[in-house]
Amino acid sequence: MTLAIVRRTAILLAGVLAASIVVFAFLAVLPGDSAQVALGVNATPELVERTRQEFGLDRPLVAQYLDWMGGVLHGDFGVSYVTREPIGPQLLDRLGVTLWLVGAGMLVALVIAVPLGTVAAVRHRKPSGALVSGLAQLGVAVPAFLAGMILVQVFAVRLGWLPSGGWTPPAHDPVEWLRGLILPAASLGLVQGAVLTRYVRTAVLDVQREDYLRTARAKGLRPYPALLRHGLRNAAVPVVTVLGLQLATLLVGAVVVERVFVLPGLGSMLVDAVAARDLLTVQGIVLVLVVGVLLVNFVVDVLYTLLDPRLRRS
Amino acid sequence: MSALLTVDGLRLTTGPSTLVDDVSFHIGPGERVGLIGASGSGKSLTASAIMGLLPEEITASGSVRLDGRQLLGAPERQLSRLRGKDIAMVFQEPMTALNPAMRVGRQVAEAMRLHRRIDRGAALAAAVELLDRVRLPEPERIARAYPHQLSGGQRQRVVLAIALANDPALLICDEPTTALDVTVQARILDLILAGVGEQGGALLFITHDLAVVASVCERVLVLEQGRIVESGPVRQVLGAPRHEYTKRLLAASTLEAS
Repeated sequence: MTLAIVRRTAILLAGVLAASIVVFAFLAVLPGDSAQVALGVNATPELVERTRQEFGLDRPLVAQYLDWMGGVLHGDFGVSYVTREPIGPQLLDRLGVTLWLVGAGMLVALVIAVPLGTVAAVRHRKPSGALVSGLAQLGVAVPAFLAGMILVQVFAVRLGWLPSGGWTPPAHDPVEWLRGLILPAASLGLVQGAVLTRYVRTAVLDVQREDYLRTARAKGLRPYPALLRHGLRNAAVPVVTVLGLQLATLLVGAVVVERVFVLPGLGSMLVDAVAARDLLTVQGIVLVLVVGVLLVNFVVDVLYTLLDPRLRRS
Repeated sequence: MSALLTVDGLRLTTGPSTLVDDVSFHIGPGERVGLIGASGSGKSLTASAIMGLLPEEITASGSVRLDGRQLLGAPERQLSRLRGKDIAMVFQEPMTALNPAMRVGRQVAEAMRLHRRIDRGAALAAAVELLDRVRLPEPERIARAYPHQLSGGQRQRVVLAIALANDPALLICDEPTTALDVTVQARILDLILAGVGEQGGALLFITHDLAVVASVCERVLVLEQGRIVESGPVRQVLGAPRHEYTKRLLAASTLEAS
């Protein structure tokens, strides 16, 4: 088992390395010069040349890459060509906001999906089960930004219970932070929860047909306890797969929700950087997002081996 | 002698089709009864009906009584108290009958903890003893293993250990050796006989293997298309079959043996 984790860690590191090369190469081969792009069309050739030298853009690409990656490994993402500010600290701040948002959204999704999906599976022949399935189907069709706007309309504008947007750091005022997080997390989580509900339902239905569940019943366990003790862990394997994919989607998809709720997250930073043609910042953000997705995959792989002892042989 | 299990006019239907029709039989305490028939004749469904574990889409009518208590239509709470304690079951497919994500010892111990006041440690110790009773080598090691680390024959012994955990008055075996190697089959049969024999439990043995019935059972019921077409002592039914279907079954198995 330790060996399996070591192997997966190696795969993770190789993935990060490959991703960094791809991200760097992609922006390097884009037409247009970073300095020129940042300075705009009216910049004089002398100014562009000076900027190129200042940021080391006149050096060979390999040297530029090694320099960038060497810095990134120490948390130094370079200095923005546009704002002339170091990118790293801002990136870290923004990442924190996005992680809270995605984490809370996933929590909302899980809290919705696990009980509802289970009930929908156990009562799949009854009207209540069909109702849950139908609602989930409906939820899947709602885009997160629409859910966000509806939630704002109801809970912020009409009822005035929660702020319609903005961000308070948790260290600053935990209560205000939580109040600000509820609506964005709900708009991300409700939709993902609806998607996840359907997967939980399928997984539980499959597990219910398993022979070992019949064995559990034959021992004298009643239906729900049998499902809880013998079914959930086995049903968790396919659900974790979907959860991993959803987390990756959420991390990238948080862009929209951050816009709706004016949250200073990675997504809005990316949109701003793209708008300002701040290529080095874009490069840093994309790398962080890609590494985030790779990390999620890594955690999913490790979870598999914890959940299913059959996968521990290696 | 009053019967332990009395099945009377059992009828199982799903939608318009009748799967089992007017099945009646009884099993006395400590008696070993075989239920034979081709695939799809309703043997396993009859067993599921007795256990109260029929698939939702199947409706049962008639009566199934254990020690005089009506099981058919009894509330789940009441049935779950009997299952695994008074009636236990060994299934056909040992490869899938155990939870792949739980250690074997815990799965055996759970069968005891559900029906007795016994703490976790004592139950695990008793589970190791049970694994030893079904002749599993190194029972302590097996108790710590996951099902995928055991062979088919070893897993079936574990399933049997779970079934015998509370010394049931009735053990139902649904083709317990069909999925196993011929060399393993005989040993599992011996263990089943020893298991019910020690505590004077009764046995309902479902199979399509007439040789197995001859070696295990005292009495036999022949099921064809959901109806019992012949029944009586094993010697009589297999020695001088009266019903056409039984003759065909017998002829087919003699062919197989030669």
